[in-house]
Amino acid sequence: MKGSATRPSDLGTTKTLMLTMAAKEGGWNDVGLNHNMPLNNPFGINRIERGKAVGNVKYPSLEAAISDWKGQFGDRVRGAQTAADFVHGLQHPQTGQPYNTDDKKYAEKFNNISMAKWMKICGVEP
Amino acid sequence: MTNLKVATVLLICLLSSPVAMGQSNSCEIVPKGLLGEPHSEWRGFYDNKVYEYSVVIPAGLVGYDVAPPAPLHGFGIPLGEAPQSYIFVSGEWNSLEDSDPVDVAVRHLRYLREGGKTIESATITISRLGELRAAELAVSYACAGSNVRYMQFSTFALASDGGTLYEITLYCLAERYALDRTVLIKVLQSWKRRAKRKAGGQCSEVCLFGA
Repeated sequence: MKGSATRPSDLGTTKTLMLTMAAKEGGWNDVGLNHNMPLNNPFGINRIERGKAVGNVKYPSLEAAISDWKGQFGDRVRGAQTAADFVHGLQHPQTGQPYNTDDKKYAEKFNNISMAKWMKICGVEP
Repeated sequence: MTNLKVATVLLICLLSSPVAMGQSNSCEIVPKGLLGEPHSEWRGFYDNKVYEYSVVIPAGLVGYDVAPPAPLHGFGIPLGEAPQSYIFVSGEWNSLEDSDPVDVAVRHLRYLREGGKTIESATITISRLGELRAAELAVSYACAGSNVRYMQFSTFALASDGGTLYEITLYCLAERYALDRTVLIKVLQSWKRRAKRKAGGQCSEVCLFGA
């Protein structure tokens, strides 16, 4: 994540949480990456056609995708330092539809992604 | 569906202290906010090209999901009269890298315990979801300070390439389980995996979907 407009610190949240979000929604296995990498869509952002979700957005660049996510959801996770705070913010916005509320286990699924462990193994600074 | 019982766990968590780290510690059946605005509604044939599955929402019922731009995994169906039951249908990347749907079922049982539920009985059986090997989790539980009994009946399956995890879950009062299970079975029997992507990252209709 490069550029002043795309740093997790802009939102007061952490790289670990943003990478967890990407692993959850963009995928980090071959199937997920094969789908979303050509679209430059690390967060699985959906698009609307005639008022309905019709598939994942194709962005011109990763930076564009991150900036869009920040605009759509950034305020919800501002200041979040833990997975619980991050998901709570997504699912309890002051305005707009809660994030993925149809999945009653969304928070647990997010919490179980061991991003910090893999960042350490791969030498990625938190 | 053919079922081969692989594990039966009775009164599995009575001796364990609940751990309050999960978020699903309420006893609401239909998630709050599901019908908030804006949302998407689905009726009849539902086709998810991102996660490559299709299913039929039974006549007279509606599947609801958050509106975009949040990712589209599936939908939830409120069922019957209040207190309504809930059928959740989803596809998602296998982000926890499970290799067996039984592991998914075991983890979901743990979610219930960590959410403070009192597990009265739990059974995990091997089954099928479409052409895929699946695990079924049937749990009877109660919430803290309540004698009301609830049921969760989940079917989990992994795509043959291991990349995608599928889930269909019924949440309901125990007394409603027999009735609502007939609807669940219709949903389960209609579920199909879409054609696989071509090798080498090349896609057919799937890529057109996101273009």
